[in-house]
Amino acid sequence: MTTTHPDPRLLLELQVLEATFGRCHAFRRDGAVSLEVGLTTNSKHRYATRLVLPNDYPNSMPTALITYPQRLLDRHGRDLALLTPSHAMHTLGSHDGLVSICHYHPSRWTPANTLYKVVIKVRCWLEAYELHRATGHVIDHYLRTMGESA
Amino acid sequence: MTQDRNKLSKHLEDRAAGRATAQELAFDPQTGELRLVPRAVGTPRANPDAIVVDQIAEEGFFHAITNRR
Repeated sequence: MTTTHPDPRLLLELQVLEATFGRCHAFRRDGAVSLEVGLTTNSKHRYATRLVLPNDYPNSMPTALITYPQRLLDRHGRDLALLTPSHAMHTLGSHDGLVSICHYHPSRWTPANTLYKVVIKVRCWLEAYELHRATGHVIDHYLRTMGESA
Repeated sequence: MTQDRNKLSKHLEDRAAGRATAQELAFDPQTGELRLVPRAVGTPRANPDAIVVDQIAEEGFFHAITNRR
């Protein structure tokens, strides 16, 4: 962990992430704290996700980007960053050419949710992404859609 | 696909469709893998560190409702 962010909740969340997923890299960019977490799928493919925290986190939800590999291709070889937003692929948009993963609906986000839960969702999305690559089914075929309100 | 991957695929499909499943999905922090494990009903898990994913995934995934492709 390489942050000096004084927020005790964030420090605790970082500890949980590192205990679960291994070493995390935290940094501040343009005033926003970001965390990078490495993930390995069941097929041993390596990925990295970046959580960009809004200034009012945990009152607002973080953005989850896939930073490695930089380009995620669908089964047909199309760059997911260029296809977003996509309901079928559960992607929200792209930031700096990186795919943003849909995880929580903003209206369903509460401060009780955690970065750990977001990373678990990203981990599930990655498994569904690889199943999409293997079978051709869209990611929505594997992941339940969240309603807009509780 | 391998047998394990087929089982995982079937599990995710069933969960996405709202069908009941005999097993639950857990994240094993020791291996980084998502594994199907028997539902723990009053019995300890084989790996007590495994984290049940289904409860988190059950909340669903947000999607971009403005552009259904």
